[in-house]
Amino acid sequence: MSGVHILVIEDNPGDVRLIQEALRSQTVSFRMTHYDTADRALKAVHRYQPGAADVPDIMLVDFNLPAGNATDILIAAAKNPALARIKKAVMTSSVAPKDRDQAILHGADCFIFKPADLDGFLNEVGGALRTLCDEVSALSAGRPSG
Amino acid sequence: MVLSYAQWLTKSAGEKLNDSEREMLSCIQENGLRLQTLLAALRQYIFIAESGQENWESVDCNRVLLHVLDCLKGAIREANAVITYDPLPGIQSVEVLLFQLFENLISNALKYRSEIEPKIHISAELIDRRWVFSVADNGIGIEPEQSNYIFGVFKRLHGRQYSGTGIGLAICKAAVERLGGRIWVESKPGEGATFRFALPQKGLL
Repeated sequence: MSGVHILVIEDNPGDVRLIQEALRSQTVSFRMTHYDTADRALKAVHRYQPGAADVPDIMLVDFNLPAGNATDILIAAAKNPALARIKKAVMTSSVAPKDRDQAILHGADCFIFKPADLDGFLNEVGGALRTLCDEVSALSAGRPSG
Repeated sequence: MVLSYAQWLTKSAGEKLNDSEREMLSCIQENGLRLQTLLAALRQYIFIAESGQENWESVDCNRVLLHVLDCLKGAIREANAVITYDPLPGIQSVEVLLFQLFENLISNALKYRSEIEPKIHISAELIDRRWVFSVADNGIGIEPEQSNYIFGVFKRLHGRQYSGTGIGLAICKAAVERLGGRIWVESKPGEGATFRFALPQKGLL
């Protein structure tokens, strides 16, 4: 068991590193797959097969991405049975409430406004991911293994 | 982001740095914070100036004002300001824009206070089928010839003794324009400032 598999779609490597730190600060055991543009992420999202070992447990998507935004990814994920039911989080540094409405409308389980300071980031992003990880573990514990 | 990493570095390397290096790091932190504030204000400005569909509804301006005063209560207490207001009307408008207007104008009135006890009065009167709202203060005031300049983006009259991004009044102007109205200031140095904005009334004839 290599922990929870998190698919991170985020163009800023600085934020990717902070996300890893946030997960470590929550002592979450995880592995990460990362895409840095919407088009690369979309290709991957279309490719996942139900039941395959590489299907992530959680998707964390930055709202504004090169070549698209999080709603494009959420819509594509909803159409792929492999991803339709995984946990999905969207985060942004924008202030537009409509971004959140759009993300929730298209199936995001949670929406995170990225705090600018380190402790805020670690707490909020880490806390939200921790909650999703706990939900994933609870689900898989309820299922017969194998 | 800049701020987060500067804080991270301070945490992990703080002990090993000499005084001059610590000073450089705190300079990065301070400017990271300024950049962050500026970026948030700019995003707000773009959001106010450009967002598409307006949610016009019947808005109780008293309620909006009370909400703003609640959000600013820390700054009001810190300035020891006395805030008074007349009953305000209910109008057809866009609540988020009215909120921005009151918030920016009242926080400016608090910020640009003079030596004397700050007094701020909010009122509204109906003139030629337009509601004209006023936020009047007894602060430092401004030169009449600066009265257009201050509504521009990044236009500031003061240095660092007054913190600010230079975007607040530009947000007010953008908000009023989206509501089909106009905004202006009546002031003289040392005599306080009264910011007024006039909003046309849909269906009020």
